[in-house]
Amino acid sequence: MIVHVLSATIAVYFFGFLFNIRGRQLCFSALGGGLTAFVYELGIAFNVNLMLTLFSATLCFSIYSEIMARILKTTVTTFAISGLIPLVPGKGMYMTMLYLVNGDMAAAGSSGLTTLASAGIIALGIMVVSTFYKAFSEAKVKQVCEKD
Amino acid sequence: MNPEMILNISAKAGRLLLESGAEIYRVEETISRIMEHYQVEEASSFVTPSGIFVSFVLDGSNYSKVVRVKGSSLNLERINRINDLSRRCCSQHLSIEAVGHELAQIEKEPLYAMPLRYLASAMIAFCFTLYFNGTLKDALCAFAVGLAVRAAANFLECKKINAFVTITIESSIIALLALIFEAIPLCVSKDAVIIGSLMLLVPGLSITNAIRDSISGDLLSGVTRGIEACLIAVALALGAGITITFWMNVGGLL
Repeated sequence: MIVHVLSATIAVYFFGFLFNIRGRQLCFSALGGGLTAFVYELGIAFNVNLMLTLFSATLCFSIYSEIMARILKTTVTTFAISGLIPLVPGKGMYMTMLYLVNGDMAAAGSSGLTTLASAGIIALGIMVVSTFYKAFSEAKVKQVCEKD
Repeated sequence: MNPEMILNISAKAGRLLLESGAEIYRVEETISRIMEHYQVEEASSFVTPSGIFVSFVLDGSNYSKVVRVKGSSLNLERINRINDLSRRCCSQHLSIEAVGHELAQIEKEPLYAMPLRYLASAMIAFCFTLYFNGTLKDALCAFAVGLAVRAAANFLECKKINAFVTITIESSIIALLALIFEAIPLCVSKDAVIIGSLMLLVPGLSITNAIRDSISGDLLSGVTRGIEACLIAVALALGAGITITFWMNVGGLL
């Protein structure tokens, strides 16, 4: 598990080079990726339902990226994209394709559906956080405006 | 105050943002923020993933501009810089000339050096192979595959091949190299190498942007980018799938 979390962190760090993330943000986006991988691995280790694990990992990195974006005064996307990477169901896509190639339709169907569901649940997680965060921060802005 | 200049510079800021992979609402907001700062009336912008429409009214005349945007590559630093610039433009009351000057500077900012990008691709493949339970041997093979993918990506980019064909070719290169490595045998399992290296190509940006656009109500762009993500996923599977099928059928004869 330590190897997994570490390798995910380093991989996300290097993704920063391809996404052209600079300076401090590079380290913090890598930490976000590590956090995602950590929560995911924790869920797997304790045998939690896969969808629930994915959902909580998504919630964690979404909240992390909203907070870090405010602290470092950058865009949320910087951290959101980096945090998402360890969760992208690349393995699911590949396995589905492999089953199809081997002619195992039942396995391909089940793996394909799991992949789709994973993508859906990740989308849902990002939506929940971003919607609530918007509502929350707009309420705060209103308060400040009324004070002025 | 030169209205043409306001129009051109705000549209340019929008174009740079869109080309760098920003969300739609951010592009629209930035354009409007810059225009409104210079006291124009009815400033409005309409942005889709492939084009920008900007217009405003000043002293009774209408000004408008259409910008066609083709292709986008991820450049988060540029998004940050322009986002920051548009905020400073309002808070520090920069002149439109100063904004234009800074934009030109931001446009010139280079990406990371090519060797570093090669190293990054290789390390991503290396680390993700370990992440997906590959052995150290597998990971070292993935390191080589990562280098090859980056070289192929650079080549195809120069030739201006469209994105889906590019991804199909890259993913078949990954599968082919992994199969060869397994046959030699340099690596233990081709699956770990392929999955680890495929992570280089997965549509993380499209997924994130599709979701964020849909939430902020830009459904047109949300759907477009969602379909883009699906097509990329299909291209990935197609490239690797064809290669593996060929290998299994022809490789058996060799």
